[in-house]
Amino acid sequence: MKNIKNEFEKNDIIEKNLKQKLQKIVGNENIIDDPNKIEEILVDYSFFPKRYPQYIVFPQNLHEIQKIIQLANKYNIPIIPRSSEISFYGESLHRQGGIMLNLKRMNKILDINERNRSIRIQAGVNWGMIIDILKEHGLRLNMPLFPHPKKSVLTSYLERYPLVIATYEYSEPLGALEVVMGNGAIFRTGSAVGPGEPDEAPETVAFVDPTGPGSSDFYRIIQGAQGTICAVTWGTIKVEAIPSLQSLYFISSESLEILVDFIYKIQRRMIGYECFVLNNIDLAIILSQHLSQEFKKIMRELAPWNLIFVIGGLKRYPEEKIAYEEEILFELAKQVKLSPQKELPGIINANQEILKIIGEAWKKEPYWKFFLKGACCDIFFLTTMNKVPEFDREVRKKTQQFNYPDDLLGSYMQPIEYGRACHLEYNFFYDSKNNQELQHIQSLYREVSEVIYDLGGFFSRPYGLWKEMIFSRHKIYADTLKKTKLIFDPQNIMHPGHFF
Amino acid sequence: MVLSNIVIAALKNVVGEKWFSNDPVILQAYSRTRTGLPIEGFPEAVLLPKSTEEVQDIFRLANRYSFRVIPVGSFYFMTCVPMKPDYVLIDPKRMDKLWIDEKNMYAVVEPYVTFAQLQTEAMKRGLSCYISGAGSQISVLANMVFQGAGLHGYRYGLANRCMLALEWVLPTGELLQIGSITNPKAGYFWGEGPGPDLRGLVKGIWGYAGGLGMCTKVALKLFPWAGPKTLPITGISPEKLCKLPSEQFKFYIVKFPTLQKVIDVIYELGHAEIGGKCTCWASAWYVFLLSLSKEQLFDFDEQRIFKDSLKRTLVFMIEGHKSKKQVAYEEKVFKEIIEEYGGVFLPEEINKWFAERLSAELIRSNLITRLWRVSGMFHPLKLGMDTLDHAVEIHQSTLKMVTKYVAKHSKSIYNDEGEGMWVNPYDLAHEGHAESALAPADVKGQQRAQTIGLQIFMDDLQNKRRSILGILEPVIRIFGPTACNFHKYIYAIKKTFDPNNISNPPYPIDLENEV
Ligand SMILES: Cc1cc2nc3c(=O)[nH]c(=O)nc-3n(C[C@H](O)[C@H](O)[C@H](O)COP(=O)(O)OP(=O)(O)OC[C@H]3O[C@@H](n4cnc5c(N)ncnc54)[C@H](O)[C@@H]3O)c2cc1C
Repeated sequence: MKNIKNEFEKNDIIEKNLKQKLQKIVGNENIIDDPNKIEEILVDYSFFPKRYPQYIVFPQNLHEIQKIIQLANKYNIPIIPRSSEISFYGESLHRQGGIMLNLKRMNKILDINERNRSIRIQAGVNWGMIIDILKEHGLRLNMPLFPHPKKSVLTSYLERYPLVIATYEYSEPLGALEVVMGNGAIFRTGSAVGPGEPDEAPETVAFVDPTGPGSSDFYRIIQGAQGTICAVTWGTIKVEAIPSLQSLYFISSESLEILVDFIYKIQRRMIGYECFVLNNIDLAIILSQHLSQEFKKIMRELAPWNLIFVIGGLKRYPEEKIAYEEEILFELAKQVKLSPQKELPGIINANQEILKIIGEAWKKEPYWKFFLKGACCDIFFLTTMNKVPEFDREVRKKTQQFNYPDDLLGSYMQPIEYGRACHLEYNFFYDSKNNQELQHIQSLYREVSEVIYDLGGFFSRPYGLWKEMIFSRHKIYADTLKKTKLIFDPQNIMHPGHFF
Repeated sequence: MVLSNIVIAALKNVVGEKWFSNDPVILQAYSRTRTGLPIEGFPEAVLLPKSTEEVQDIFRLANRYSFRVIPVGSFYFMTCVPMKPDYVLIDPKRMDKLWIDEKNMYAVVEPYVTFAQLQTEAMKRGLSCYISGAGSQISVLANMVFQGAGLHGYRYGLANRCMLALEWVLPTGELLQIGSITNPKAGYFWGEGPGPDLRGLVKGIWGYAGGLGMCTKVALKLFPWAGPKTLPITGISPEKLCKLPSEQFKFYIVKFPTLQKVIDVIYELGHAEIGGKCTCWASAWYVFLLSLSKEQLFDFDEQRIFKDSLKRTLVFMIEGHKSKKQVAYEEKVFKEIIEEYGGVFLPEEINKWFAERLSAELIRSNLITRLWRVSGMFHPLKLGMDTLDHAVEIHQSTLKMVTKYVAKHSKSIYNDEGEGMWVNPYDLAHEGHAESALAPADVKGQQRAQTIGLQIFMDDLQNKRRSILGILEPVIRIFGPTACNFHKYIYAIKKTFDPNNISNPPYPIDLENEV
C-alpha cells in the first residue's frame, strides 16, 4: 500500500514539475492541458478510437523542441510530433497519452532557391500556405492529389504520399532534414550534417542531398517512421519549373485493362507530366464541387475509368514540345482504340477547371473526400499496374459481399516513375455518425485489406490495422525496425505503442 | 588465428569441398586492390557459396567460431582486403542470377551480375539501367550497396534512387527482407517500407563496406531505352568505335572559358529538362580515356594533346526515346542555350571523332578502368555532394594546394595540372557532385597521394566546406564529431546488428575502439 501511495505522490510531483517545466520552455500561452481544447485540436478523420495527449505544446524553434524531448526522456513521457492540423489515418493518436509536440508555429519558408530548384521549409508549413508563394517564383512541387490545405507539406513527403507527376526518373523530392532524435540530440541528414551549423555552410550549399551521412541513409529511416524516431524541424524539397503552357486530356474507358495498357505505352515513351486515373465517383465529386453541377448527373455521364493526362512545355518553345508529345499520345491512343478528349461529354468546362486546381491544395468546403457522406475510409497500397484489374475485381467482389453500394466506391490509381509501379486507392464514403454504418465500414476495411494483402498488395505505409497485419507476419523485419528505433530513441518515448 | 580443422570442415560442409579454398596461391589473388591506400592482407580462406542459405550459414558459423567474414563483389575496392588475420572471404561468383520484369521496368540481381551483363539484357528488352562510374565490369549489387555514383546521374540519379526491394543476410545470419518482398506475393518492385525505409539502414552515401552482413539479392529500376538492342560496336580492343544512330543520338563536346560557365549551362539544361547524359570533364579525362596504351598516354601528354584544348568541357548527349521530333526539339533548345552562354562547339569532324569513341561510354561506362592507366592505381581525393555550385567550390578550394604538391612530386604522381576532376549533375541538375582524384605512379606516389589527401581533408574540415570523404575508419573519427556525431549512430548500428563484430571489421567503424 505504502509503495503505491509513494508512486502516486511521485507521479503528482512529476506532473506538476512537467507542466511547470514545459511552461518554462514554451511560455504559458503555448501549452494546453484543457481536455476540451485538446479534443478540438486533435482532428483525426479516421475511425480509430480517439486517444488524446495530456498536453499540447507549441514550440517555436529547434532548441525548444530539443528541451521538450529531453524533458520527456527525463520523466519517461511519450511524445508525438504533429506538423499538420489534421490527420486521416490515426497516425497522430496518443495511444499512451503524453505530450503532443505541435509544430504549427514552425511555419517558416527558410529558403526558395530558384537556381537549384529547391525549397527549405519548416515542418509546420502546409499546402494552403506554400503553393501561391512558389508560383511567384515560377516554381511548383510535384504534389499529392488535391491535398488538404492543413496538411503539412513536409510530412506529406515524409509519409510518402503518392505524387501526381509520374515523370522524373529520380521521383523522390526530399532532400536533407533537420531533426531532434528521440534521445534528445540534434541531427541533420545528408549534406546538412556539417561540419558546423547550417548557417556556417558555404553559400553554395542548399542542403539538397539527402544521402548519408556515412554508411546509413538516415532520411530513409526517418521517412515513413510516422513520428516514432524523431521530430523533423525542417527539410529541403525539390521543386520544378511551372510549365508555361499546358494541355490536358481526358482519356476515358469502360475497361481498366485497356487503360492500364495505354498508360504503360505512354509512360514508356516518357511523355507528359500529371498522369492519374480516377473512377467516375471520385472524378464526379471533384468536378461537381467546382462546376456547381449535380454529382449524380456528372457521375452518370462519366465513363467508369478516366485518365487525366497533362502535357506541358517549359519556357523554351513550349508549343513545339507539346505538339510532338501530343502526336505521340494520339498515335498510341489509336493503337488501343482510345480517344483523348479535351472535354468530357455532357460536362462543361471540365478541362479548364481541372487544369486550374490540379496543382493546388483543395480549397472548397468540405474536403473532397468528405463531400458525399461526411467521412471516408481509404484503403491504399502499392502494386504494379498489370495487377490492377485483378485487384479491382477482387476488391469489388468483397465490397459486394458487404452490400456496399458500387456508386459509393471511389477509386484512384497513380502511376509512379514512368509506370514502373502504381498506388491504388479505394475510397469508401460513409456516415461516421451512423454507428451501424461505421461498424460495417470497419469490418469491410479489415476484410478488404486482407484480400489485398493476400493478392500481393504492398502496404508500404502501414497505418491502422495494417501495422499488425504486416509486422505479425514478418518477425525479423519487425525486430530490425524495433532495434533501429531504439538506437535513436532508447527510452521509446517517440510515439510509443504506434508501431511497437 | 588460423582456421581450425573443425571450422574448415564446417565451412566445407556448407559450400561443398570444391567451393572452399585456402590454397596460398589462390589466396594471393584476394590479397590486394589498387584503389586508395596501399593495403595488403591475406584471407584465411575463400568461399564460393551458391545460395542465400549458404551465406546465412557462413555468418552463423562465424559467430560461433569467431572468425570474420568479408563479402566481396568484383574485388575492386580496398575495403575487400582483410585488415587482420582470421578473415574468410565470400566470393559470390556462383551467385550470378539475373531476372528482368520487362513490363514493370525492374531487374533483380544476385551479387555477381555485372553492369555489362545487366545492361546487355535490359537493352534487348528496350530498357537500360544506371551504371556506376566505376565501370560496367563491376558487380551491380556491390556497387549499389557500397557507393553508386555514375555518368547516368543527370537523369537516373544516384544508385540509392534506383535501389528497390532487397534481401540482406545480417551478421547474425538472419535474413532481412526490405521493401515489397516482405509480402511474398508482391515481388521486388518497391524498396520503401513497410514503415521506415530500412534501405537507409544498410546503405548511406557509401555503404557499410561489408561491415553489416551481406546483401544477396537486390532489385533495381530500369528505364526506357529506345536505342539499338545491342550497341553497334566495331573495331578491336583497345580501339573500339561506336556509331549510334544519328537520328536518335546527338553527342557534343562544348568548350567554355571557365568552369563556372559550364556549370551555369548545366543548370540551364536541367531547367529545360533536355538531354539524356550530361557531365563536365576536365582534360585529364580525355588523356586517360582516349589513350590506347600507357606509351600513348605519355605521348599525348608530351604533345599536350587534349591538355590545353579541352580544359573544361561540357559533355552532352541527346537521346531520342520519344520521337525524332523530340530530338529535333532538344537539339534546337540545346544549341540556343549554348549560344546564350558562349560555348564553343568542336568542329563537326572532330566532334564526330570524339562521338565515335566516347558516346557509347556515356551509356556503358566501359573505359573507366583507363583511369588507372598510369600505373594501375587510383586515389580519390575528395568529393562534394550538394549543389553543382558547391561541387565547383569544393574542387577549387584546395586546387592550388593539390596542383603545387603534385607538380613537386610529378615523378611519383601523374601530373594532371589540376585537371583530374569530374563534375557530375544529378536529377536534372538539382544536385551536383565533384570528384577529384590522383593517379599515383608507384607505391610512394600512393603514400604521397594519401598525405595530400589528408591535408586537404583537414583544410576543408577546418573551413567547414562540407566535402565528404571521411566516412570510413579511421577518418570517420575526425569527421564524425564535427558532423552531428553521426559516427556514434554508425557505431551503434554496427554494434546492434553485428554484436560479435564478425562482419568485415573495422569497417565502417572499429567496434574495438569505443566512440
Ligand atoms: C578507379 C575507381 C573508380 C571508382 N569510381 C566509382 C564511381 O564512379 N562510382 C562509384 O559508385 N564507385 C566508384 N568506385 C568505388 C567502388 O570500387 C565501387 O563502388 C564498387 O563497389 C566496386 O564494385 P565491386 O563489385 O568491385 O565491389 P567490391 O570492391 O567487391 O566491394 C566493395 C565493398 O562492398 C562490400 N560488398 C561487396 N559485396 C557485398 C554484398 N553482397 N553485401 C554487402 N557488402 C558487399 C565489400 O566488402 C567492399 O567493402 C571506384 C573505384 C575505383 C577503384
